[in-house]
Amino acid sequence: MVFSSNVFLLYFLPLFLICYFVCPKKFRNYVILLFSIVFYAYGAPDFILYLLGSTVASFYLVKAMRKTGKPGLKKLYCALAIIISLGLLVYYKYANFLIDNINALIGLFGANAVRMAKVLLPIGISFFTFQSITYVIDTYRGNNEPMDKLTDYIVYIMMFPQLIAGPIVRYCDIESEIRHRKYSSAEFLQGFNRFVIGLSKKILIADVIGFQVDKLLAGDLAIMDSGTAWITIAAYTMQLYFDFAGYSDMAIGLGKIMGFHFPENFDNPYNSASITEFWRRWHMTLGAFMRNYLYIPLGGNRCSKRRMYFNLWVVFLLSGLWHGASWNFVIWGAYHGLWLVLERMGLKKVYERIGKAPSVIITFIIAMVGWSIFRIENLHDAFTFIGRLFAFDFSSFSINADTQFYTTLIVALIFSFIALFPFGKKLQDIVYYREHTLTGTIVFWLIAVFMLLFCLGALNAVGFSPFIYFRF
Amino acid sequence: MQITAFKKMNGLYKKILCIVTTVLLSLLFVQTTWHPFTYLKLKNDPQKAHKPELTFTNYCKGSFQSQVDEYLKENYATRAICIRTVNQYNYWFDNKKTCTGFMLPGKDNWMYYRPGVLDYYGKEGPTHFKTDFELRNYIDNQVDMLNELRGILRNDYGIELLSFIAPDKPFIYPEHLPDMERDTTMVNAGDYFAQRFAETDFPNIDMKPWYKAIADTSQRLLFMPMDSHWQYASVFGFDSLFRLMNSLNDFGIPQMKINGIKTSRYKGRQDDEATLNLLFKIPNHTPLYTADISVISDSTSRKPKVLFVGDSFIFAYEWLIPKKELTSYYENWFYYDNVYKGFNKAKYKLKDINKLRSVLNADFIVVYSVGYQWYHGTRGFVEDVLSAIKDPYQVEVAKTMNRIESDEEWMQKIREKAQDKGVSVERMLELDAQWVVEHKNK
Repeated sequence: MVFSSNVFLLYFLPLFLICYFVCPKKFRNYVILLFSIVFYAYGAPDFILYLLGSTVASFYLVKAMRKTGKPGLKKLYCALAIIISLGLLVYYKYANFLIDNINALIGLFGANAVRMAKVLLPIGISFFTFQSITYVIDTYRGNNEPMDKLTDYIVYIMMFPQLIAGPIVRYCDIESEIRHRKYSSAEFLQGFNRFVIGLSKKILIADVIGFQVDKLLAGDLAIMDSGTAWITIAAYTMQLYFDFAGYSDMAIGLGKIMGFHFPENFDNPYNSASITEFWRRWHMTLGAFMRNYLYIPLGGNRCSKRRMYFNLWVVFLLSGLWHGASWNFVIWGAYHGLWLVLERMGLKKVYERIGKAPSVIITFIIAMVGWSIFRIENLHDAFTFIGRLFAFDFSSFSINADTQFYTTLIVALIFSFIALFPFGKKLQDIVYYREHTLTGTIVFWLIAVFMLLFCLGALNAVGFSPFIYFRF
Repeated sequence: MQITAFKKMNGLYKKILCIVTTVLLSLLFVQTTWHPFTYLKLKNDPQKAHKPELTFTNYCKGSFQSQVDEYLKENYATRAICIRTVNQYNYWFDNKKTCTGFMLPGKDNWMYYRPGVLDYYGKEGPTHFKTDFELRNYIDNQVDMLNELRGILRNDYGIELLSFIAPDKPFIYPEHLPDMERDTTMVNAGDYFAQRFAETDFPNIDMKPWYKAIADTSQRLLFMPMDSHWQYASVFGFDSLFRLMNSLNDFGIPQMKINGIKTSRYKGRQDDEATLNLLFKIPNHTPLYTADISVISDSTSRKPKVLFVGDSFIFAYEWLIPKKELTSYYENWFYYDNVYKGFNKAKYKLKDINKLRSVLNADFIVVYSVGYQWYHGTRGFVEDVLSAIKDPYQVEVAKTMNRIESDEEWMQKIREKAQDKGVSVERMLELDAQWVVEHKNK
């Protein structure tokens, strides 16, 4: 089930809210559990048992790990829990990719291809696998106590707001809220507003732009003029951001309604003055995961420079692979890793010298070129497209697009860069985080209700599309 | 003290707002599920989705989920107001482009039928055919078949088959069209049909150039800005059509005389604006015209029986032409699906009638459509009738049906039998005719 669907907005959400708030506080986790199972099973009935099975297995392995006094056995349980989670992720997500590459390789030597039925990808697997890993490792490290109740643990892994596309919530971040949380009307209303903001980002911006991007990229990329190519990739850059940030807003908003505080996932990423900063602002929970559970264990900064560069590059290579089992994602990861290494080697000093505005523009261009590799799966096409970006051929520039596309793209660009200015930062603060006076609350609530109805209209006037980040 | 009381009140109001939010969402759920409140419907809303059926197989395959989505899309609470709001927003701010429905708003609040606009810009052909060659080949075949059918009808039965290409608003008034890029990969179906008809001497009237010429000189608009249908100006088309019919076999059809054009008291039939489904009505100050027509006949005049096969151009005939003074009987095969027989417009489905009997009952058969409809050719008419008319048994049955129909006593018996057997009179008539034909030679 997706948030921007009729079934979620008209059936699931109202029923959930009624059941959740009518139920006594001590039973509310069960309500979340029940609705989360329905949420996942509705869209992916084939995988619900797999999800429940792997969750139960990791719960009991962690419990056994905590109980045992022997360090060797403890390590074994920890490794086993991680291997089960990662093993399933590798199987479901990368089996097809591995087989295809093995076949391509052995095909060079004339050997027969290995045959295997195509493996279907359980939706959200990358997200709940990572959450499960944070639980295992943090408990192993002694950062937190394991959960007493299996149901509470399943709630942590399967909680529907963040089950499908994050944010990746570390166990220690919401451990106490799972056991006991406070409810406040102000937070409920803030959460509702945040949910509607996310919904609007998805339906009114990402989907409108995405429709045109798909059309543009379906054409012959080899003859695309540079103007069209830049507009296309700028549009995709906006589509991806508003799609994913919209989903995160909805997840955070729903969490607030329920009394949870999920970590922020985006902080105006396109305002970054370097790729290093970009990764501190884009998909922040994935960045934190990679830093805590991969980069630091590999040695992090506390090693030789050469080793540090290698660590950085490997982390980004794997981060790319996490996004999808395809070479374009690997290359996209490597591309970002390369820029990070270059920045550490001295590029950052150049940025500091040229000032904020040029650095932001350069970083934005680097990110856009990266998104070309990310979006166009066929590598040959991706490089052809990048070639057209830098061909500087504006002779036949024309986009047969409607005003709605251009208006939306301009609005998206304004929203993306508004926080570069003090008034924009203040505005974001007021809209997202600040607790309002009663009048302010009512005004924001009325706007949110109107926008919800407007989104419903827009959703049904033009159809809907699934979130981009679901497939990761 | 005051501050604490204020904070308490503030908290209370916020709590109320939370409850209102939940109630509001619940109301959406209740209205979507049980529809306790009736609300304004959308105009021309093509509600097609069936209520989803939950079975284990459906659910596992995912078809239940997609059915639910389709169903909710058409039946959710507040749909009408939500879609109207979005349409109004698009109308105001987005170059009027993405309004739902069949109508496309152009410049200066002019409305056009969407496929007509696409046809004008050359985009309609590629939605039906892969290549220009395929389209031309299809039209060539259609014209060949129409000529073959015309030969048979004319020589064996004295029936005239002719065609009429009705005018399209976008071609007559392109200056108000929304801007689009032109696709020149394919020939225009209406134009190519007209060309092929001319080359093969098939009797045809192409109203497009005619209307264009009139539009450039006339003081009155031939099409109303906010309506895609034909208004008073369609009488010129019918006048030409009846003249052509008369010229084919000197039938002696009474003559139409257009005495003048006057302003109509009615504002109706400029209602395509309603199909935009906006929140606010677009003001319309254009007068609607009507034609003052008289019919001249004498003792030698004969009123023909006409079968019209085509689209909604026929409605102009029904509204504006004194049809009873011009024809003795007419039948309309609307989009080759619904059939309206006689002046009282008895409605049938085409599949439920004997087509050949209607064909053989007519003096004239007029195949007509606006330009963009010609991509569908005759919608199966020429293929079906040509195949039936070459089958002696079917011809005999059709003729017998027409013979029985003229015998009132026999028809009365057929009506009684139809009632007893629980079938339609038309079907009973056909069964009787088949029985007669089958037993005639025994």
